Parts: sequence; structure tokens; C-alpha cells
Amino acid sequence: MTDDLPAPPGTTDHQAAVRRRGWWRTNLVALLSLLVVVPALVYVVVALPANSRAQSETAIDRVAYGDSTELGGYSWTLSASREFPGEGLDENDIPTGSSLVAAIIDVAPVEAGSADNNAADDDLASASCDVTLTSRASGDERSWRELSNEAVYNYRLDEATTSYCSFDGEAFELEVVFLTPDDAYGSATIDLSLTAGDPTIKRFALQPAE
Amino acid sequence: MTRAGSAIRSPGSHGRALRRVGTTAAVIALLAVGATIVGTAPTDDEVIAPFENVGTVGETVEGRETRVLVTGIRTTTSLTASYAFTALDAPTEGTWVIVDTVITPRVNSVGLSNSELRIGEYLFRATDIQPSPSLLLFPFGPDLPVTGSVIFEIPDFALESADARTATVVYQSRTVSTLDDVPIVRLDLTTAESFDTVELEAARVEDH
Repeated sequence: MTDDLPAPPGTTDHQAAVRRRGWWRTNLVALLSLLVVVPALVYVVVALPANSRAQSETAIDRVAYGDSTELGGYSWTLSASREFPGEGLDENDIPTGSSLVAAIIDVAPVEAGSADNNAADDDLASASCDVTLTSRASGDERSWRELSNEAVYNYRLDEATTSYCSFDGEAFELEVVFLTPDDAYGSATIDLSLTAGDPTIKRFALQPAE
Repeated sequence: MTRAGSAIRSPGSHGRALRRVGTTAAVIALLAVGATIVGTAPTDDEVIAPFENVGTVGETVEGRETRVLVTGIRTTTSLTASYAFTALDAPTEGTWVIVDTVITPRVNSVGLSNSELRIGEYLFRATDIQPSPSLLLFPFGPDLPVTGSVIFEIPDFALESADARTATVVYQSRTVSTLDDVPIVRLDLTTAESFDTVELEAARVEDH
């Protein structure tokens, strides 16, 4: 029981207890302020910028070769891709050291009516798609844009395909062609996004080289 | 009566005088150092100026975005091109300067529409008169060397000036390449081959 009693005044224990109580009393406001300020500081300096960065980063969905994915009310499937190595401008019109890379992506409305609804949406009706080929062969990420003059390299698009996206509710086959260095295909992917609406990037793996 | 009092200084007065002199000297020295720093420091424009990688004709010059090799310089008063859907026939009152160049983008596709020709105090922008595909707006990507021409239209007095011997071409995709490194090629325009007419060819990737 005597342990619970306060030390008698004048004793060393009593003076120490008074000093301890005095320090807490003196610094109580500052300590309470720290309890508020430090978490607030961490939130402002770390959490807010991280959250802002996370929101501004575009989501990238990886799609294995042959798999389908959905974007803008349409289903997208990379059904074929191939590399045409350059044998020289005098041989196959493709420069040596380069390759022509072509890919076909099947695009179809997800379900009857849904694409029509999307087409009715002003954003998607006027939207197209942005397609790039990206390779990481040398460790650096390098990107090439779709060719608009593939005929120069003696490549002819299939009559059943189109080289641009058009969202009118109908299915279509998108055929894209790139000119790349000859080391790009093995580690390349095709990044596809819509020019309006859902900002997600679909990253398609290419057909493995034979 | 002696006037010894006037000759006697209070203890420590010599030290205070020395300290005052020292302080004054230190302040003057600091001011001099400050003035030197301000006088020799780069201006605001110089601080954010691009890093210029300068080379000559026949030498590969690297920038962050591109590698550049100038293979020749031609001049003419009449440009033509027949490879595009719409033919080009462009005479000039001055002179067309055609800088034949091989450009290799390093990371992404690059258009060099803001390239400049500097002759002394005069600066000329590259003309976009050439039909696509040209070096200014080409769709080729990294590590594909593209052969083509960058073209400038300049008045005759610029070509005839003494500065024409030390002209430079700045290859850049932006109007201001702040803190970027850009390839610059020094040209002697007086050595350019002169033609009545130059037929332009489409920019293209060559065998490499």
C-alpha cells in the first residue's frame, strides 16, 4: 500500500516527481501540437503528391498474345503479327538493318447494342486510336509510330483490314505496320489507346517469332 | 607643463584601430569578390541555354534526341520535287541552301522543324516547303538513319557575307531547346556546290 502513496514533501523522490510533472505540464501543448502537425506534414509532403502522381499515371493493361481485352465497349484481340527482315532496298524494298513489323488486331463490339450506345457517345464516335510499337531490346525503351506509307516498303494491307480505328458499332480488323531496327521485334509490344474516353493503355504481346 | 597626455593612448586603442582597418579591408574584399562573382556569372539566358555539340561536315554529331551527319551542301535558285502527290516547283529571289543530312533519332520519332541556319547575326528557320516525307516531319523512329535534306531560303547578301564561311546549322525539334543538348554543324557556305535547279528526293531510311 505504501508504494501507492505519494512521496512525502521534501524528499528526493518528491522533488523528482514534481520535476517530471512540471516537464509534462510545460510541454503538453507542444506535444499535442506535434501529434497533429507531424501526421499532417507527412500527409502533405508524402501522401498528397503520391496520390496525385498515382491519379495522373495512365493505367497499362498487359495482354498476352491471343488474349482479348475490352476498351471503350469493344473487344480487342491481337490475332497475328510478323517481322519482315530487311534484305536491302534493291532486294525486298526494306533497308538492311531494319525490319518491317506488321500486326492485325481484331476489334468487335462487346455485345449487341453496347457499341451502338458507345458510338452514340460524342467522345467515342469521333475518337480514333493511337498505336505505337515499343521495344526494350537495348535496355532503353524505344517507340516507333505507325507507318502511313507502307507501300514504299512493298507492303500491301489486306483488303479486309483497315489502318485506322472507326467506332461505328461494327467489327473491324486493324492492321498496323512499323519500320524498326532489326533487333526490335523480340522484345516489342504494341501499345494501343483511344484518343478520347478511357485513357487506359492496352499493351499487346506480339506473336512469338518462328 | 608637459603635454604628455596627448601622446599617451589608452590601453588597447592600437588594437581597436587595427581591428577597424582589418574590418574595412575585409568588407572591401567581400565587396570585390561579390562584384567579381556578379560580373562573371552567366546571365539568366546563359544559365538555361542549350548545350551545343558542335561538329563539321562529314562528322557525326550527337544531341540528346538525334545523331546528325551532314554529307553535303548545295545551293540553287530553283527547287523541284516530283515524288509527292503534288509536285513542287519553287523558284526564289534569293538562294535555297540545301543541307544534305543523315539523321538518326535516338529515343522517339523527331521532327526537326525548328532547325536554324545561323550566318553571323542572322538566323534563318528551315523551310517546310518540301513535301512529306521530309526530315522536318518524318515518321521514322529511333535507330533508323534517315537520309534527306534540310532546306533554308536566304537572301544573297547573307551568302556573300564574310560570315558565310562560318555558318552553322542547329538541328532542333523545339523553338527553344532549354538545357537540352543540340547538335550543331559548322558549314562553309562558300564551298557549296551551286546548281540551276535541284530536284529533291523523299527522306527515307537507307540500307545500313
